[in-house]
Amino acid sequence: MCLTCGCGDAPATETTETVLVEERLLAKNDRLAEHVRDSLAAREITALNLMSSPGAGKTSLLERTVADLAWRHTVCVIEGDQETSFDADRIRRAGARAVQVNTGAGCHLDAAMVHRALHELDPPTGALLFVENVGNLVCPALFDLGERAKVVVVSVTEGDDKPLKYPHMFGVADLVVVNKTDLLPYVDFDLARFEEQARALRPGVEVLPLSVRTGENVEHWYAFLEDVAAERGGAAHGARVGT
Amino acid sequence: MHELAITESLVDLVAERTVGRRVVAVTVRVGDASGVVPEAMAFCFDVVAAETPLAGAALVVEECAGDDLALVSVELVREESCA
Ligand SMILES: Nc1nc2c(ncn2[C@@H]2O[C@H](COP(=O)(O)OP(=O)(O)OP(=O)(O)O)[C@@H](O)[C@H]2O)c(=O)[nH]1
Ligand SMILES: [Mg+2]
Repeated sequence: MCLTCGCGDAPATETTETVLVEERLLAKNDRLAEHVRDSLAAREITALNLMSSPGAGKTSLLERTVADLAWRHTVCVIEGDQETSFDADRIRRAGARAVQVNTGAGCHLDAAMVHRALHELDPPTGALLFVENVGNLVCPALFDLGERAKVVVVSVTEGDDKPLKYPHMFGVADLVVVNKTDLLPYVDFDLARFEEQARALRPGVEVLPLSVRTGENVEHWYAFLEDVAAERGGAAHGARVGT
Repeated sequence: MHELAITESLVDLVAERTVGRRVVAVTVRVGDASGVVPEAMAFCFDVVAAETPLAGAALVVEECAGDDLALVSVELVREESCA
């Protein structure tokens, strides 16, 4: 029977036509990310997308940043996790505005989630906005959120072979933070080897070893943030070779 | 698994372009450095397409070098097929 109108004719001669489309699969996400980027730029808000495996220290780094920079910046945070509002609660306790986004089964944030969260967060003009992505070194790499810079955080307990294992993530990094350097004496993390791998994937990327716990090198993190805020960083930041 | 989210945007994109017409096949181009695994995408496609005008459509993946990730074309049933 004809499927179109049920007329009883056999669909033996059902013909098809091919329509050429040629559109990027993530076109919708990328258009929305561009809209987010433009509206943040109009309000002079500097947005950074923080990505890492679970537990590398993203929230700890943000807690310390809120405490240290509150005197000169309004810091706002969008927290992405599958479940719970633990991280947004931690940021609020540290003294900054935060909105928690729960992705449920989802393993990354996308531009639509950030767009919605921004309506709720409503960061003031000139704010420093951090988006803490879901802890995952794979999926978040593919989604533009409208940020000005992407920061990848690893910790020394994860091993120094992560760049080559997760090339997409390291390939998009504007800064790579190596956290928990206070634990270096207890692990076999080879910083030189790690840097070499990271730069093979993202030539010229700055690799910044620091310890949120002891505060070692955090001043370089703040200098990076000032650079991005002054639009010397972000996409152009790759040109500034490591410290 | 980001292939699920990406396949959802694929199905959305096709649905937008074909407004209710029956789709026989969808061709995508997936680069080897795009971060998308064609097998995972094919698995997600059947699930996401179910109960849309794309249900039962074939997914044709053209693999290529690079980070390309695009919808190439859509094969549709001609509307005047019932004489
Ligand atoms: N020794 C040491 N521990 C740290 C450091 N920074 C963070 N930690 C610890 O690492 C653990 C995880 O830190 P979080 O800040 O929750 O990590 P996260 O990346 O936000 O984790 P998810 O949001 O779950 O992906 C906590 O127990 C922190 O106290 C550091 O510099 N040194
Ligand atoms: Mg966290």
